[in-house]
Amino acid sequence: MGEHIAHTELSLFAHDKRSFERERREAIESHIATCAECGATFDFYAVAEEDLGDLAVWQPIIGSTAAAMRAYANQCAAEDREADELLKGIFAKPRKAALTNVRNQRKFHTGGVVRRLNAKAHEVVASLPLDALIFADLAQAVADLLPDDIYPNDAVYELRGTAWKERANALRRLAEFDEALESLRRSENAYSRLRSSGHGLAAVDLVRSAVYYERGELQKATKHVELAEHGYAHQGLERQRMKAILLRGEIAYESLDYAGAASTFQQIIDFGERISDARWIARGSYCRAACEVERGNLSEAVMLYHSALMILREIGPTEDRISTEWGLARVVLHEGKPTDAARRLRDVIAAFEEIGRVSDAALAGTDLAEALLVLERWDEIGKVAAHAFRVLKKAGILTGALMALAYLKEAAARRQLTPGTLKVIREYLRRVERKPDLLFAAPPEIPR
Amino acid sequence: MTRVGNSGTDTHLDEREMQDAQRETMRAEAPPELPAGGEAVAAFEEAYLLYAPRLQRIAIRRFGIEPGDAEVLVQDVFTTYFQHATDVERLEPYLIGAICNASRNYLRRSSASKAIFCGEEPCAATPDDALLNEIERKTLLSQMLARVGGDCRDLLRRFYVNGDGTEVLAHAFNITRPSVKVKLFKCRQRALEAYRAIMEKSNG
Repeated sequence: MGEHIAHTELSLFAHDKRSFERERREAIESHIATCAECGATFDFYAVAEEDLGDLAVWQPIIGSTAAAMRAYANQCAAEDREADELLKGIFAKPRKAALTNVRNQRKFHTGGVVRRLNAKAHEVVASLPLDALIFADLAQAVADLLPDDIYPNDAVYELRGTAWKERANALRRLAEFDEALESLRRSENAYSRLRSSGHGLAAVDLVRSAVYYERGELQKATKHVELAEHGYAHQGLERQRMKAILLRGEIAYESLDYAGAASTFQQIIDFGERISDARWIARGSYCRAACEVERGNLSEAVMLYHSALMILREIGPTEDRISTEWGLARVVLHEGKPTDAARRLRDVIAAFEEIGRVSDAALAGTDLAEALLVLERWDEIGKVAAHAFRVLKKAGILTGALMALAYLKEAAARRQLTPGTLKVIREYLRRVERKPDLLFAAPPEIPR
Repeated sequence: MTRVGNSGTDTHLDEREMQDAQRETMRAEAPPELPAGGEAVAAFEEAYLLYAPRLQRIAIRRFGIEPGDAEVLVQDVFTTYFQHATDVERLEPYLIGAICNASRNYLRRSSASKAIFCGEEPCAATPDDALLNEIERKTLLSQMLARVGGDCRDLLRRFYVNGDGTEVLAHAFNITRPSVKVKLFKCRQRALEAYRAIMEKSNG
């Protein structure tokens, strides 16, 4: 390999090879091809030679802007600390907070208050949607009062967009779909004021898709969930993207595309396995199991339900575990074992009632009625319907569901109940949960 | 069934929902802790110093945006990011996606270019590896230039950017023409040393 080549020569060689005699040029080339040290030095000079001519390399990057960003971050952190103290009472008693006139109280007029209210709304929306709506309403009111220039780069619009989005999400949970869509429109308007809206617009599309899904407008739901999925993918937000995929699977299921839904849910299982997160595996498994039941792949469904159940028994949540047990009971029913199915379904109904999921209990009641119908235990069907009626009424669910259950009881008493009638009742109970104003129309079998 | 798999719990919108094993306990639990103020600020600042130059170059090189405007776009990206930093697990792809979106919006609004529609995955407007490597390399070079001293910076800039020849440089620096070549070599060598120092530092 010989002696190393002097840096001076390597530097000149990188600058202008042609100025070297052919023999020397070949010697240097041969040397740098085999000597890692000289090769690396030459590479450095060669690359620098090329890049130093690029004006962008000489542009001063950051400096005063770093100081501005630091000041902005410090401002936000200080506001957040203040907000934590200020909002303790509101978080403790949200219903009372609903009466608080934040517009008149300047102490609430900070970005920190909006951030914390938005975060709280997001946190409780699944379990306490009404509280979430209160927090989001307060956040939105404060965000509107903040001066546009409270933060650099119009960042106040991020707070406004998020407040509207959280409001929409809470409204969706409360089945106020029109108002939810209007909030999403406002959220989108706010985010659109930003040159960089982060993943705000993808979140808007996800919630919008969920609203359309709840309303049964599945084409629109599909369009928006795909936008959300793409938006999240573009920014490498994998978990958020998976939420969009999960919703896409649910939409496919509702569209009766069971094969497509099963394949989508398999992606959720794969993701859970990839990141070693049992919750995703459980969720994907029991969603796919439901598809396999519909496709008649009962053994596959049982395997998936059991896989989900093992996880959910250990880590919950309780309602998902009960839902999985419900799924297994339905498989048993499909397998032609009505006695076993009835026993399992009674347990499921009791478990749902215990945690206050009375609508699900009523729905499971229709499956129990189906099992009892096979067994021709007519009196028991009447009792199941009457029980579900009482439970719903006691829970204050005074929708057409009561009429549907009364109809079920009457049809059983007349021994005129058929699997077709049960299907109509079941489908109605599913839909009325999302559309409380929906009227029950009796199937034509029984003249009323 | 109210939902697929008999689930009435719509968990697709909130990761945290999936993580609360006991729904009931949610009422009593404190909200998930955000990073403490000081830590969040320090992490943000670190992210800014690390990624801002790279994002700025992506805006300049990939989208042809003027340096001053690119700098503002980078700030846009970071100000928004800080508002929901806790949602972001992998910072680099998030920021790169964000600067691409911001650049496209900027171009759309300024009508400086037709909007680059991003309808495929990976997005066509997302910088490829070659560009990212180039940007990283040039960012490093910028850092090196900050360490070679004012004289060397001036000399290298005149030589490489302005294209000044040895005669012009000899006159400007009040030295002989052969000395210009020696000085050029020494400056390149300084850059090499700075490069090695930076690499050693980054390799721990």
